[in-house]
Amino acid sequence: MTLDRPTLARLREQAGQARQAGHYAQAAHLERQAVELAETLGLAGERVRALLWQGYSLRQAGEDDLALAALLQAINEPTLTVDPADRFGALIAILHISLERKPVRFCRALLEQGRRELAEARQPWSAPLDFLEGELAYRQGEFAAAWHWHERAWAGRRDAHPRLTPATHLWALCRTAFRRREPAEVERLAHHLQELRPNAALERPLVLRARWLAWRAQGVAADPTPVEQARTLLTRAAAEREPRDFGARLEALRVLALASDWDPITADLRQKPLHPATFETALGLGDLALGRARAALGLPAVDDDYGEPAVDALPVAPNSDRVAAVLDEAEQDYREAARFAEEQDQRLQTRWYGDTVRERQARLNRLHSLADSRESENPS
Amino acid sequence: MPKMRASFQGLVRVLAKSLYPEPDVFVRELLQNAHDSIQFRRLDEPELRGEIRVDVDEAARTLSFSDNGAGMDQREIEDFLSVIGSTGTGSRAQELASRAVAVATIGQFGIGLLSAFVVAERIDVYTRKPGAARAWRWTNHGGEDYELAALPVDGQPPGTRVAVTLAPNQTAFLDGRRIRQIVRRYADLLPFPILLNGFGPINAINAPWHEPGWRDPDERDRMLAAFLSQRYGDPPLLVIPLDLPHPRTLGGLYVAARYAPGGQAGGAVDLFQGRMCIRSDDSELLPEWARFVRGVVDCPELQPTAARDNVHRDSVYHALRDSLGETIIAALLDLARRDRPRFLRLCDWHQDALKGTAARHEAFGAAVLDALPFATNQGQLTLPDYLARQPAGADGKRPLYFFSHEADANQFYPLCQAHGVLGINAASAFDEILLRRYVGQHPDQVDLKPLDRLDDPALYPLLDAAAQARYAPLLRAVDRALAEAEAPVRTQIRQFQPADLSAVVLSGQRLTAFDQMEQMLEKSLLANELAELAGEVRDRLRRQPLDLLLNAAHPLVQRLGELADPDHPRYRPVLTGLYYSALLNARHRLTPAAARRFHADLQALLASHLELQTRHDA
Repeated sequence: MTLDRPTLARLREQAGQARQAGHYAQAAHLERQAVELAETLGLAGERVRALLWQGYSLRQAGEDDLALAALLQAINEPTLTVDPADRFGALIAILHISLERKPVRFCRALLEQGRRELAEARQPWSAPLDFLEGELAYRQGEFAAAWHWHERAWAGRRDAHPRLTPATHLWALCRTAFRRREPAEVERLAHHLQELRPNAALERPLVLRARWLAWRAQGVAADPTPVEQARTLLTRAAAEREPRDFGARLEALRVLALASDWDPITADLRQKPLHPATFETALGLGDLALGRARAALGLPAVDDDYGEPAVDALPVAPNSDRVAAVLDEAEQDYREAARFAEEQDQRLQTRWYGDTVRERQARLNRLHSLADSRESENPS
Repeated sequence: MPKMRASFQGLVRVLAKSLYPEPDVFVRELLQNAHDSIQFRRLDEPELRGEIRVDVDEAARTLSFSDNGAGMDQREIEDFLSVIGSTGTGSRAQELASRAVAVATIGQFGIGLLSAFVVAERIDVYTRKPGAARAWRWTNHGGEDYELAALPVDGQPPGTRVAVTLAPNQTAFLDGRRIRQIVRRYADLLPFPILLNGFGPINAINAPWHEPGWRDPDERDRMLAAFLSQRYGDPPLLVIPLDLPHPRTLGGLYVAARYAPGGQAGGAVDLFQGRMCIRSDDSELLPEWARFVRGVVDCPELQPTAARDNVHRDSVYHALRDSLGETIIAALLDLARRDRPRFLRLCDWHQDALKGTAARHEAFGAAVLDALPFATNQGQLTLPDYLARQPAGADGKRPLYFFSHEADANQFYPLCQAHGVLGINAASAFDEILLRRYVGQHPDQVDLKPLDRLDDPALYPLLDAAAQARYAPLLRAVDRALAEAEAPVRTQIRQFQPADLSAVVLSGQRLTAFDQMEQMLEKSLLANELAELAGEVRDRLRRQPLDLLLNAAHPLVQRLGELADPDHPRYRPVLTGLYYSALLNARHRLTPAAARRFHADLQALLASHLELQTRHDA
């Protein structure tokens, strides 16, 4: 077997193609082989580069522990033999994972380490760190600060390794603008993202998701296209048996719920049940159940991320069994969400998650009261 | 109105440098002019033995190129040599063509001499036509002024000598080895001997396709192998003769027989036209996937650029590229059919190149995938051969068993062999991608079955409930004995073949990652938060259990299963020994801590064995 640089280059190239196509487990396997080959050839720098991309691929494949194992090995290599950009890239990837599982203290310390390394290396790579500051602020519910950092990161982005893709920056700005309730900004960013025409499998859905956020930010406009796109995404995802959807599925379900298009939602959840394994999923499932309850009570659909208009009376007599069932479902999901929220609030030193769930639960209680009052008016 | 002014001397040098980015091209251009000149003289004197000489005068910093060709008279010097862009060769060739006289010349644009000004500070041309009463010397310093002087007839024999006085910073061209290299690269196939300082010839003169034996396939292959081997210093494992009708192309490609570290890169060809190499190491003409091939392509129909160091990307170029791709694929498939051992050797040496290329380029992959060998427990097999040995299931599909962890081959091969399962070792780079692609191409005929999925009852049949219960104390004892192992172990009992395999260990990439983290933390350079994170990751990976399957068909396991108290400390080294031997058989690395424990247990076991032996002997 030939053990040479061209083989190493081919492995890395093949891994890149696998990533581009969204086959992250396969990409990680190929990068692992590249790591071993680089080690055999005594190419420390190439080994670290392959470790960096192995870690990135594993992260996208949902294997965070294995990803960290690869990334930490990349950082552990003596700096003299390694391209500092690769080492810094590994630190950025570790920070990305840490934001989802480690306390704020830890993330801040790593961010500071990143800043120190940049200052020592005199490199203009601050955009990824600014981006991560933005992500941390976003996770803490500090959307004004998140916007500031993300804008700064986008303005400081350089098209050279280590970097994040333009789509990553624009998507972060877009969802932050959505949280800041700035429909014009969301629309502008969604348009910008669309113009980029990202090619990677991971980034193509971002265009759709941004378009959906713009649609929601404008108060569910009359345009039927986002709804059709949501339906198509669910159908395609079911057929392709995509291992990971990176959040697009839940957002498609939200769009269809806002359009009161319940049949595809029911079909999708029956075929592939969503488990409330994270705060976002639990909250999303609760919102879907709440939406069903509103529909059963004859109330208009509401975007729960954007608040709820006051309702004093119900327009139609509800099917009490059906309403009770979906309200129970929502209650269970919000209870799960509250459990996650407590962990998240503690980890991220915020109240945003708990407040969000409490607000939802208050809406749920109002619906309960409305349904109960209507039932007491019509005891039959 | 003031006028723009230009420095002719500056313009000449700028033009020369922009046309000829590689300074050594002047050697090619001057050899080419010499060749053309001889060809013209041979029209009148067909028996003339053409000869080109290159002479070095280090003291004078001069490199001279002499030919015994047609030479020039005063009018030709003034019309062609002194006018940039006017070509004597092109004009004469056109004039002869109008009279239906064919002449094999190379030059076209009349700017070849210009290339010498990239390296020269002065050029002297001495020339005389055969039979002429006087010779001429033309001298230029790179400016618009030139000197033309008549010389006595004995001042220059018939033909031309171009003396290039090199600039002081270009004396590297006076090195004979460098000249030899340049001549081999560009002018190896010129049909006249080239002598260096009177010795030689230093060029091959003819390529195999210029020889009469080219029509005989055996002779052609032999000549081509010798030629390519000598030219590139690589013994070819496969030579691919090129004799293409459209566009008309001759030449030869080869796949090297062995990997030569630091050898010339594959995927490149030397592009010849009219026996002169106009572009060496061209990496664009071969299809992108053909990185394992190199050679010589001689195609007169390609349209060269003005600098003659490249060709235009026109329809001829693209047609040639396609034809070369088809020729390479046909040659590989022909070798696979005709000479299987040699094809397997080729795949062995170039496995990554061939499979990587097949994985990356669908067209190439589709053409060769059926012929590529895969390692199995019954030797190297192609996928059609593999499937021909597999029975079809009820759904008509044939199973394609594979495993993808190199470390597992040691334990999977005997398992597969004992169960009559044909398993592919897809641990090499690109193998799994190709298997998945193959199944994608034949979804109704092939079913992909990963063997390293844990708990496959086809390989590890379960015991009945009563037998399971009998082994329960042993399983608990093993779990307790391994409680201190670096990773939690889940022990199960199965009854599988081969019976001489006492235990197998099944682990995913987590065990490998855990090993790596352990190794890393032994010599960690990480500080503070990262060190903390590394410890956490190591611990989380450690908590992932791995499966140890004890084999109830093995006599040792049977004996252990019969023990009344397998938990007794004296059995501990035996129980841990089962685990460590399975780990080693699966070619997993023992961490330092595990190695220490294994070592201690093995010492105890050996001591006890010796004790038994001595008692027995006594």
